[in-house]
Amino acid sequence: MCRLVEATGGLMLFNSFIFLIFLGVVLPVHRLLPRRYRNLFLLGASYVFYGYWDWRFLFLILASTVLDFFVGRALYRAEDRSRRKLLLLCSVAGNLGFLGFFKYFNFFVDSFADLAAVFGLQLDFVHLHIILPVGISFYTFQTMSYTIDIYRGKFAPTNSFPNFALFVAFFPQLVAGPIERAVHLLPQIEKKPVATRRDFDEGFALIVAGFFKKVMIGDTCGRIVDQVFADPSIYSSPELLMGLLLFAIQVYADFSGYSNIARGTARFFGVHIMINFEQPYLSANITELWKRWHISLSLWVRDYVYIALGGNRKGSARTYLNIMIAMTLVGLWHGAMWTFVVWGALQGIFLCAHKLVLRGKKATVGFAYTTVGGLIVYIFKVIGTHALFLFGLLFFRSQSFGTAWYMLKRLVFWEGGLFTSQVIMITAAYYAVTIGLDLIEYWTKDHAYMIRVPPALRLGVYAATFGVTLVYMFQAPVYPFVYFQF
Amino acid sequence: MSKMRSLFGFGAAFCAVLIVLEFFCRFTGTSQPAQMTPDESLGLVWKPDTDMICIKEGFCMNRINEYGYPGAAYPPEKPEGVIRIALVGDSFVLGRYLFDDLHFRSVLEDGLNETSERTVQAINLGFTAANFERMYLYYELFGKKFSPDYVLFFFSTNNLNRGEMAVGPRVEVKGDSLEVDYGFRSGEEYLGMKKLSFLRDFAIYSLLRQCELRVKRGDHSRILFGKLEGKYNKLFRPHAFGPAGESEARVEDPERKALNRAILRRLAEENREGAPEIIIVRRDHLPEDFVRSVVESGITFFDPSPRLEELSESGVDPHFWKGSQTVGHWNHHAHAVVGEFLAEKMRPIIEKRRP
Repeated sequence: MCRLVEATGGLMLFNSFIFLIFLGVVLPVHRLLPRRYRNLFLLGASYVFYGYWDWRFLFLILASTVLDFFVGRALYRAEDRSRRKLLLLCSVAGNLGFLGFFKYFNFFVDSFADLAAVFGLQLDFVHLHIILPVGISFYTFQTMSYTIDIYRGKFAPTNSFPNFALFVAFFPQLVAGPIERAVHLLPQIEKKPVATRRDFDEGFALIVAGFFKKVMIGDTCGRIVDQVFADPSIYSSPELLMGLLLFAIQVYADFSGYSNIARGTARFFGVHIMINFEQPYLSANITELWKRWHISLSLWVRDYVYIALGGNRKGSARTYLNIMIAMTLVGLWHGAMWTFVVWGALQGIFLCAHKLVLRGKKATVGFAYTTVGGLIVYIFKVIGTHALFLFGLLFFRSQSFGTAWYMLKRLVFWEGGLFTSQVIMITAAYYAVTIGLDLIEYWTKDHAYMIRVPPALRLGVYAATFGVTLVYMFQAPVYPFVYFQF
Repeated sequence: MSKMRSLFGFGAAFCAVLIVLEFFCRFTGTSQPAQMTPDESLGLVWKPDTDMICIKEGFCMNRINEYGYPGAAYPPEKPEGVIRIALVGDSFVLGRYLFDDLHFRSVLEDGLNETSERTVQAINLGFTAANFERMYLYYELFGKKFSPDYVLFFFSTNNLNRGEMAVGPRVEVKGDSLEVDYGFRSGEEYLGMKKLSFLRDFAIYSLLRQCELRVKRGDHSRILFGKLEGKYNKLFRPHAFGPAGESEARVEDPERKALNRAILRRLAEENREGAPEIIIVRRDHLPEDFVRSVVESGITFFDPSPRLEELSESGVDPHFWKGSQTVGHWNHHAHAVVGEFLAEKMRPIIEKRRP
C-alpha cells in the first residue's frame, strides 16, 4: 500500500489541497464561460487533471478515445454482420490490449515462467518496468461499454469528438469510476448541463460526506491496516483480526468516499453520475452484497460478461460456470496477482452456493423483518454475510498466499493479546461511525441526506466535519485512493 | 430573532459534531490528547496513566504507567535484591512505535533475567528530541528517584549538537559544578502552556498543534501546492525552520560542546563515586574526540553499531519500517539486536556485582 503512496505521489488526489485549489479555479471559470464553450473547457480541465500526474499518459487515454470514437461511428454505419464483429473486436482488442500490456504483462510472463518451471523448463523472459497508468481499468471499461452498446443497437454514437472525449475523460470519475455508461452520461454532456441550486446543495453534501469517509475513516484506519499486513508476525491474534476488520472499513470508506466526492463534484457541473455503493455492509446475503458493492463494476460484468456468456439461460450448470467466470474476471480486474484471482473465485463460489440454497427463489434485498425475532435473525444474517466477505478480503489484501495463510492460522489458533480492550475500542469506533452513516443513508434513501437538515444546523455540521477533516489532511501525509492500484 | 435562532442552531450543531469527532479521534487513535504535561521541575513530562495509540512509522499500543514513564511499571522504591537499569536517551530509546515486548528494554530485561540469580528491571527513560543536557536533567531530576544501579545513556552526534529544548530547566556551568536554572517557570512559553493546558486534553487541539508545527517547518506550501511547489519554488518561499522534520545543528556549537564536556565530567565523578554505574552507549555516529573523552574518564562505553551493521549486511535495514515504507528509528529487528547485545555486555558486569 505504501509503495502506492510513492507511485501516485504526484497525482491530483481528491483528498489533497491541490485538488481543492483546482476545483476552486475550474468551477467559477466553467460557470462564467458561455455555455457553448463549457464542454471544451471541462475537457481541457480533465486533461490537466490527469496530466498533472504524468503528461505522457494523456497519449494513452487519447488513443483509447480516438479508437472507440471512430469504431463507434463505423459500427453504427456498418450493416454487414462480419464487418460489425470485426470492428467490435478492434475496439475490445485495442482496449484490452492497453490494459493487458500496462497491467498484466509482467503477471502473465511470471505466471507462464512459473508454470514452465513446474515442468522443469527454466524460462528467462524480459521483465518490463511498467508504471500502471492510474484509472486505466476504469476508462477502458467505460469506452468498451460504448462500442458494445452501439453494436447491440442500444443507442446511436455521438458525432462530436469533444463530447465523446469528455465522456471518457470527465475528471470527477476518470481515475476511480464509477464506470459510467454512455447511454447515461453522454446525453447529459451533449445537453451542456447547467448546475442548479439543488445540484450545488446536494453536491456539497456529497463532497463533505465523501471527504469525511475517505480521510477520517478510510485513511486513518488504512494506516493501521498497512502496519498489520506488512508484518503480521509482530502482532497478536486480536490485532490481526482488527487489521482485517479495519481493512473492510478502509476499502469501503475509501472507495465509497471517493465515489461520493466524484458524484458531488460532477453535480457542481450539473452532471449526475451513478451511485456506486448502497450500504453493502447492511446486506443479509452475498447476492445482495454484490448488488450494493461497486455497483458500476458489477453491472458492467453482468451486462458484458455474464449475459454475453449466456447468463442463466443455458441451464444450471452453465449458469454456475458463467458466475464463476464473471467473478474470477472481477478478481483479475482488481489486480495482477493470484490473490486477487482467488478472491474473485471465492466470491463466485459464495454466489453459486447462495443460488443453490435459494433453489430458484429470488434473493431478499433490503431490511426484511416484521418482528423482533425477525430482526435478530436479520442481524445474524448481516454478520454472517460480513464474515464471508471478510474471509475473501483476507486474500484480497494479503500480498501473498503465505501472508494470508499465516494470518488465517493465527486467527484460528487464537492467542490473546495485552491490548484487547483497546483493539475492541478502535474497531468498534470505526464500525459504529461507518455503519451509522450507512444507516442514515438507508433510512433517508438519500446519500445527500444533509440537505434535509435546516440550513443553519447543516452549516454547523459542515463547518465542524469539513474543518476537522481539512485540519487532519494538513498534518498527515496524503494517502492515495486504495483502488488506484487497480 | 430568527437570526439568533440560526446562530444558535449553527453553534449547537457545530459543537455537537465537534464532540462526536473528538471521541472518534480518541477512540480510533487518529489523534490523541497530549501525552505530555507541564511540570515545574522538568518543563514537560509524560502524563502518568496515559494510554497511547501510536501510528506513524509503526503501529503499537502502549501506556505511560502510573510512575510517569512508558512500559513496565516499577515503583520508585526498589525492592530488596533487585537490580535496576535506567535507559536514558531520545526517541530511539523511547521507541514509541513498537510494542513494549519488542523494545530492547524488554529484550535486555528478559535476557538478563534468564541467567541472573537476581531480578533485573529495566526502565525506559527515553524522551522525544532529547539532547545531552535534557538527558542529564531527566536522569538527575526524575530517573534518580528509581534508584538505578546502572544508567545507560544512548548518544549520537545529534544529541550532542541539538539545541535547547523548547521548555525546561537549563544546566549552567558554575566553576567546577553544574547548577540547574529553573528560569523557564516564569517564561512566557511555559506560562502560556500552563494557562492553556486544559486544551492539551483535547485530541482535536493536538491536530491543530501538528498543523502549527508543519507551518513552522515551512511545509505548508508543499502541503497546499503539492509538486507544483517543487517545480515553481521561486513563487513559493517557505519560511524554513530547518531541514524537514529535524532542527539539528550540523555545526558543533562551542558553548554546547563545553556544556556537554561539563556534564560528562559530572557523570564521570558520579561513576567514580560508585553507584549508580554510568555506561555510555553509541546510538549512531559519535565524534571521535567525544568517544575518547568517555573512555579516558573511566566510563564504560558500549558500541552496538557492528551488530547493527551485521544486521544491515544480512539484508535487514535496522531503520526501515515495512508497514509505512519509511526510514526512521530502530525497527523491531534493530531493537532485538540492541537488546541482545546489551544483555551480553551487562551480564558479566551484573555477575561481578556483590549482592
